[in-house]
Amino acid sequence: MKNEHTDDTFLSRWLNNDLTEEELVSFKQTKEYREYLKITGAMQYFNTPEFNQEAVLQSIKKKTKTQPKVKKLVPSWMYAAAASIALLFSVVYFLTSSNEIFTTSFGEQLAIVLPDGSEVQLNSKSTLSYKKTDWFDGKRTLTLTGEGYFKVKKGSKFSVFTDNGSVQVLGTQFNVKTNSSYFEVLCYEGKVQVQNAEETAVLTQGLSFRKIEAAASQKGTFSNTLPFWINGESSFNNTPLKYILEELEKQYQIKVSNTSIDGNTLYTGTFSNNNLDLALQTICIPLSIQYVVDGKTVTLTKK
Amino acid sequence: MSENKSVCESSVFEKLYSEHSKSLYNFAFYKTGNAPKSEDLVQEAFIKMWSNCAKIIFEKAKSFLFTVVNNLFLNQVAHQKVVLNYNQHGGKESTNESPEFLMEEKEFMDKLQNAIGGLKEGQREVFLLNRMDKKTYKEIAEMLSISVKAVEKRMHLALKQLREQIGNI
Repeated sequence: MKNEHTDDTFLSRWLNNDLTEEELVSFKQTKEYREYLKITGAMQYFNTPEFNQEAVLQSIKKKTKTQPKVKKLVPSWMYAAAASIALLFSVVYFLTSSNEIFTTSFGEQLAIVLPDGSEVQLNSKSTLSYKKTDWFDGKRTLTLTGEGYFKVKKGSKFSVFTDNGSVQVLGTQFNVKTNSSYFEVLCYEGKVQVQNAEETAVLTQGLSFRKIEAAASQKGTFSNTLPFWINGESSFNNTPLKYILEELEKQYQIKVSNTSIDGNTLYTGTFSNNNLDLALQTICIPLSIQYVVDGKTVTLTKK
Repeated sequence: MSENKSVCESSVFEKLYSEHSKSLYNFAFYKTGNAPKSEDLVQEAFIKMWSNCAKIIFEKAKSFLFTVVNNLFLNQVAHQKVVLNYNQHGGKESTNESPEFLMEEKEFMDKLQNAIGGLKEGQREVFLLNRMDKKTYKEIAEMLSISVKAVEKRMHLALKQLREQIGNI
């Protein structure tokens, strides 16, 4: 009985009128009850010091004026918005304006795998570019200057555009060589369609198409299964000498000075891309030309 | 609905002040027993709330204020005995009680005043917030960031302690 009101929240419950009827009755019979009642009753006579609410508020206002509050200048949602916009722009940029460009320098070759799995081997001093968006849309389109060997995966139309004409295929292997006035396509497998301003030609395996300057285009045959340059040689068939010298300059980063020999002399042959002396010999001996190498300059004269 | 209320609005700030400054002041006084110091604490708490207004949501403003006072008190206030003044019997002008009885009453009130001052701080603030400011246990629990059960225990101990301190009544 005595301990009934001694659990650790009993008096709290009493003050809060939360005791049961029985608890209250038994509590009222104890001596302590009267004392507790007296204490709680006496509490009403106490008071807290006067609080000068208005004066303190004024003094707070005075102090907060000199102490500027921290207010976010830019609400946090602005950061989120800015980030989203930046992300959007980069995605759009990535999808629309990104041009993939590959360039080779003197004597370099570069192997490129295109987004559809087709392969391109790029010869020296050449540039290949394409728009990513075109490829996402299923349009397989490339732009080429210089020379490249293409192994095209079967699929939709695959187009190579050059300044001198374009080549369209569905899946095949072919070589394209182009510069300011020279355009040559060799088909190694399948079927390709060559198109320039004046004509359209269809090449099957082992056929070549060549157009030099304003002369009529020439069609020819060949029997090798890979372009020679892939294996480090440059091969020509009845080609004017000036284009051979141009190729030589590209492969060896040299300057060929030729004042006395007719650049339109036709040449058939293959020179190495790894040994300048050997290459010069291969070109010059059959044509009875003398050459002098001086650093990066080669001077040709008649024998 | 109230989530748009910004503490940075001066109208909201003043409303918070008029609602809570008095109980905050009492709370500070129950802790410190020092009236000027309590005013300082109230002032400091509201200034702190103002300068951090962007970071405080309206619903948490009250508990922010009490927490600030509590922390400031722990940091800087020298403990001082809490002495509450009393009016004898509600300041009745005339009484027909015997002088002896009045004498005993005075003695009792002094003892009680003393005993309140002698309570542990945690018990005293809970006891006085409940008895003087009529705060419910739940409200006190929120102010002090403790559980309701803890408030009830402190309440119980405070009252028990007072009775034992006063001794024979």
